Amino acid sequence: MYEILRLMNIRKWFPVQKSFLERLLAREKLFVKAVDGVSLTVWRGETLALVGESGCGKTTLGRLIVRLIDPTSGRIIFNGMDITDLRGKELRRLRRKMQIIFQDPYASLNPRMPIGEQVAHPLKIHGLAQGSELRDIVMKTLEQVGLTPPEKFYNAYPRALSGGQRQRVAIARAIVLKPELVVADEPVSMIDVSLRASILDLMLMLKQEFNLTYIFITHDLAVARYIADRIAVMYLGKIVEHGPSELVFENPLHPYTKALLTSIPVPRPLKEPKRVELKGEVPNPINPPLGCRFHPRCPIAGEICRREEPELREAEKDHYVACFYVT
Amino acid sequence: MEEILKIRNLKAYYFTREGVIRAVDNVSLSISRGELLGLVGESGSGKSSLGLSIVRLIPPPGRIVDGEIIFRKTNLLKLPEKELRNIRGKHIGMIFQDPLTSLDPLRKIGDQLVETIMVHTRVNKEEAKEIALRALERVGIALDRFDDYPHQLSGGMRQRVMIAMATMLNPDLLIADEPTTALDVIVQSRIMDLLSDLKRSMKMAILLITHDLALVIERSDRVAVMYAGELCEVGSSERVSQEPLHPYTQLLLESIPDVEKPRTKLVYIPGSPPDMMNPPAGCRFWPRCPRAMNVCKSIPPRSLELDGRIVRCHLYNGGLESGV
Amino acid sequence: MYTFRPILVKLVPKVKLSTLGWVGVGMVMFVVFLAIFAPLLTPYDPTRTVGPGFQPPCWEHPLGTNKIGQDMWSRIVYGARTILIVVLLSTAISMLMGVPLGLISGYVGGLLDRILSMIMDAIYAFPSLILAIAMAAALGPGIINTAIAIAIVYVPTYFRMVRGQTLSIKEQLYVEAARAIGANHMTILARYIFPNVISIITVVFTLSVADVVLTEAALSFFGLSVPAPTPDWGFDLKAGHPYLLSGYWWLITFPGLMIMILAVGFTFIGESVAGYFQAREVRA
Repeated sequence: MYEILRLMNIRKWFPVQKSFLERLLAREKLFVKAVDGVSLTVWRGETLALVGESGCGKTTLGRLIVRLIDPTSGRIIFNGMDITDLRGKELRRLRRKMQIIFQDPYASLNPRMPIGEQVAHPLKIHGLAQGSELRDIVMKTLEQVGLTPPEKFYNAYPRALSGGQRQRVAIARAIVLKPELVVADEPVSMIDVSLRASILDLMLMLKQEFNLTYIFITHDLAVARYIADRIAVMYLGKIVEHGPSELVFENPLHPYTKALLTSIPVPRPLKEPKRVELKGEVPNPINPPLGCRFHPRCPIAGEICRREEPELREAEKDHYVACFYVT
Repeated sequence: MEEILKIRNLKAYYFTREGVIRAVDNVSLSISRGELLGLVGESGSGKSSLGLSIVRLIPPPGRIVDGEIIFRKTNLLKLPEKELRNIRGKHIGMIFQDPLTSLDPLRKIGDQLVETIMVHTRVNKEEAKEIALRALERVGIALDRFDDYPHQLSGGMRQRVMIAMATMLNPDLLIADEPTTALDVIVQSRIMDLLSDLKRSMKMAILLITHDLALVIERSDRVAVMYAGELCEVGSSERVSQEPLHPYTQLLLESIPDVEKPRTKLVYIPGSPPDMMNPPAGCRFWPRCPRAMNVCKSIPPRSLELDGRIVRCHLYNGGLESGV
Repeated sequence: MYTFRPILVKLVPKVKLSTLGWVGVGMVMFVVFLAIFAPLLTPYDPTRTVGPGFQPPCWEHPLGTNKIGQDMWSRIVYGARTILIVVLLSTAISMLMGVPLGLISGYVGGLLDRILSMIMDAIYAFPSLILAIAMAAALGPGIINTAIAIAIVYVPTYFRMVRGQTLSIKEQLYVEAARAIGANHMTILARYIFPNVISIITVVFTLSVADVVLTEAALSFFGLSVPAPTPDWGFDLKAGHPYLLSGYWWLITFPGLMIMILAVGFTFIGESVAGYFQAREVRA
């Protein structure tokens, strides 16, 4: 198996904005520790789902991976090359190999640029095609994402398209460069449920066609199960469990994963749901709890959990968990 | 159980400059005491407009054009505004999607609760505070949060404050429009548990409006499915989920990924929701329906009662015509 | 006129004007018409004495003559050219300076932004007329100098609006997407930010151009604009106003009326356009 991406102890701490007076009086700086020590390997050709609730840091991690934001510390290795400190022209050249699809199809397209130009733009920027050859490539890409007849969409503006169609344009724009890695940040959350499968299947088809690797960020575990080969569960800036999708779903090991899985509504009328209850709320990422971050809410927390942070350890083949009571 | 809300032939349209949007078009529905009815629909279905219409809060250029909304034997549409305001908040509670915009960010939550109580009842401030505290307790919010401002609470807690505010006067009916959409799934399940408890203990009827069909089937007693301003199907959640009658319901069920069933092939409905200014003639779903027949393209189906369920589809014309 | 109007209509983006807006368009187009067809409309040279002085409106001189016997009608018609040229030139200069500076300042931020904003705020704080007078006096008479003097007064207006819009657009998701596909800063500014800023430039233009008209008129009233004998409405106002009490009303009425028509016409258009864009924001 070929390693396409490796994250080494990535941290992203956002400084908390304080007023002038607060900065004068405060002794220490405060940070929102959005991502606080993530190490992960992504294999070429797989779909890795990054799941977690809002505030867990998955969106930030997605943007870190494509270097839209810079990590506070840690290293990012892509195709064997350390890309953590790339800047300027070299960083822009990197963009040919990794792309991102955003959550909001209404906001991620330039309202003043016709669709054809938006899909063509990545090619133009990197000088990969011109003139009629460029137009042909764009038409073909539009067809591949299901926007047919492509002529109709080529000159249209985003406001004429539905949410689902706009997301297809966003996908087209992401794959037109034939990247190796695509980060998809909640690509179907804002799309009608009855249309999601068509986008998901499109993404799976494109993966086959272009030999893509996906990092699929979502809070919806059901969608994750449908699309992912491997899954990583995040909580408060760290990965608490990861492994092959089937293993994690059939045999969730971390108490948080168990709570998540049992809370998801299933379309069956349940009389007595067997739910793993969690107490309390998600803590503020400015002050994560000491020891295991999850311990204040954990039903099986013990003494050691309050003092030390568990590391990710292999519990069964390829299935890693960060919990003292599992490994 | 006693019927508490009966909507008959409701029509609510938006009269915009570009055209008329027939957001709710001839919908009839009823809810009984102590029942949780889940109203499901996707974008453009009109479900939110329906919720707003019940309490006549539909914003301009929207307007209720026709129909009756009978709440405890009174037609709400014929009520003068002053009496309607008595009912809103006291007998019908409302929760909307984003609690940050429904709660006043400049006032403490305790004060907002107390004010609501005093507007609707004749108790004094002390007693109102008591009621407010008990309401907060019932939704699981620590009492020392009484003097907090909305921004000091998490999203889940704010939503629970909204539920407290909507239910503390023991309304007969609670209308909840996407109450958990912006929340984590764990918080969502806790809030749904809370709503079910309230339903049982206060015999409160709940109209849960959402796009999440799985949530509705799991938690509701009855399910109503809306598409493009019209009702497709109504029935108990058991029967609708196990034996969906309307093709839209069937497709919708098959399009939601089930986290407990590995990799079943997901279905999607081809096409997209119709332009609500020019919906298709006949049954509005026919362009996307795998079982559309010729009659569907020109004649709108009528509401039929079938075995205690309601369905609007030409496939079932053998059923009894319903006067509902 | 019929060949020009359809072309102009196509240039203007699909903005729905209110009735008042169209009235304004009519008023402005009237002045434009005069300016374009001036030679065809006037029998006399506006800079030469062509008749006895102080003639009231009569058949040969429909608007009368002024103190030195120049035909008022010709001066009015050619005056339209003067004022329109100055107005358009100064607006162009304001935009060419204010817009790029606003874009860069908003996009780059930091120290550059702070310094530029301070400078612009300082200029903006000056009462516009006094600043214009000071600049015009310093630069001297002439169409170009006048245009520059007026332009400087309005640069901060364009700068602020464009900067503000840039700041908000900079945060939009589609700009982040542009970075993600590898666009460099110039491309982002030119293809992603600027096109979304144009609508606000239009609004600023339509709202401020009436002001520019009045500023030019004021400058020429003080003799700081174009030199005589170039026909100029403001100049004629000043020349004619000592004689009002003597009963020579036509000397100032018509120049004053024309200034009003142009300024109010632009104001009507401006309000209508601003209202249209506001309504669009609300709906979106």
